[in-house]
Amino acid sequence: MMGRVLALSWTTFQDGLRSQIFANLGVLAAFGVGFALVLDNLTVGVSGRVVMDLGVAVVSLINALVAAFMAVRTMGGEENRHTLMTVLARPVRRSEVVVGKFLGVAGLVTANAAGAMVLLGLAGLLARHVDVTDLARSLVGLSAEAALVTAVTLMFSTFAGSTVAAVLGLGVYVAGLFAFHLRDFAVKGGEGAQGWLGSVFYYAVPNLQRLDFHALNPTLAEALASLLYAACYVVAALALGSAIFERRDLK
Amino acid sequence: MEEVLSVKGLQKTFKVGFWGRKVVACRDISFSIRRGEVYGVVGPNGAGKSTTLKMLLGFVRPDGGTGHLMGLPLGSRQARARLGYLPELPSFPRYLTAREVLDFHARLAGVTGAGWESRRTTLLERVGLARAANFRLSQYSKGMLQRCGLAVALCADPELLVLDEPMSGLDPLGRHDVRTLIQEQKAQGKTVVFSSHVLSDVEALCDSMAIISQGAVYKAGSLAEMTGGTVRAVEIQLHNLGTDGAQALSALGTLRSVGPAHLLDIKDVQRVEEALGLALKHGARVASVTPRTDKLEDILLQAGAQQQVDGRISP
Repeated sequence: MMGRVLALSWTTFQDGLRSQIFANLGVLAAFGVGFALVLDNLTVGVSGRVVMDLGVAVVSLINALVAAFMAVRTMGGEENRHTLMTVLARPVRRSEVVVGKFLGVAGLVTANAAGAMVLLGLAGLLARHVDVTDLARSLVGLSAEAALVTAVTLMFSTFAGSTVAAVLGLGVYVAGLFAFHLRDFAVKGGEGAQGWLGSVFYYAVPNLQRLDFHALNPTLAEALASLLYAACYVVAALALGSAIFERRDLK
Repeated sequence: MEEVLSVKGLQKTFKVGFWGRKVVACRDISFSIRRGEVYGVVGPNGAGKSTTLKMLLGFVRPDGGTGHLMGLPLGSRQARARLGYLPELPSFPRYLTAREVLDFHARLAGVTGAGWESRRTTLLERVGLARAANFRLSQYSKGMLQRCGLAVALCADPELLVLDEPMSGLDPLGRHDVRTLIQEQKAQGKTVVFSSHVLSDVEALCDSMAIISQGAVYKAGSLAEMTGGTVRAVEIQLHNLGTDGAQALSALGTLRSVGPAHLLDIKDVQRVEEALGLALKHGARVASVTPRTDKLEDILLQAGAQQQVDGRISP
């Protein structure tokens, strides 16, 4: 079983790494970091800080885009092109396909984030403000965040079309960035419908603010708890996606 | 001979569109395939051929009916481990090479070890992709992708090959290669089932076939069983037929002149003797009497005509 999952994830990683989408988004990430460097030169008094704050935000956004587009491409796209059929004609469980594809795309986004962090480190050097610990911590948080977006988008891809799945996946990413606001919305709503609706959304949407290790600067225990939270969410999304995919007809 | 595949009464209805309109793709698919046979699944567009193959492989779950593949449930993992599949218009990860795609499928099929590399080389040579083995598939033509698909289908040395429109997108040389490849598989004792629109391929390759129309098996059996037997009409070629004779024979069938001869087409075969008697009586010379049986094309046209009359089935 592990051999098949690894074969699936390696192929997804290899194919994604060579694809144009990945290259284009990588270039975009480099531009984003460059833009942060330019802005940093225009600010007074907080030199270096802007590079990191804006750079991490840009990398987070680009990483989410890579995660969503790659997840959609590898699942919905391959189903549309009948690539999945040649895979499913092999003695492979559908859940293995979902998990293998997830690992492949998660590897891609981690590689993307790592590359962007190296760029960010170089930009920080130019701005004379480099915090390697912060970069490493941010990389872990961003990778977990993108893995979560990947799992959710893959789950949507198991039953929705490519465009819808990408929009829903990115929608969850955006909502997840404002999870604390959802909680405030629920608290303000009290016992009424607003409160109930806010609570439902707050618990359904992954709280991505917990994974913003750059802004939160969490302790090791807090970071591990947040990573465990992300892992649980990923497992739930993959389990749901696998269950849906298992029952689907491939037309 | 042992049955490799058998299906009985397979049914499938899809829900399509926003409102989930029901469309019956298959309503009664029954046939069986013996080991070592080349079996054709033919039929007009929209007849249910691809859905039938997808049900065999487990991509689509039948709503009703039963079936088994090599004694195992349809679409089971154990059954899939013993078959190779080529979809219509195959597609693979675009940025991998043919070599990498073959390695990937070999790993999925559990084919590993020292023997695999030599088998991969043999396969790539067999499908004519040895020189392009390290090119990315995004650079491949439609025909090359089809060849790659065939190599992928064969990579685990399957007992049963399921090929959906294997000649699609191939030039005459490529079609010849695929035909040879299917014959080679048969010679090795493998079972091949394929769908096709190209009747000459089906007639040349298949031991047996099923004609599918309107989601059901219209006819199934060997080519001889399908086309032989029933004489649909008789064509009599006559020489030296005078005006009187022509007038008399016109009442029995369609008479037309072709050069110095006359051709009489008689649909009512019971009246052939009467026609011959009349012709001889009027001094004509009988050059030939040719019984006309159904050709595969005729049967397919009948099936297609029925489908056009009845339209797409809805429950």
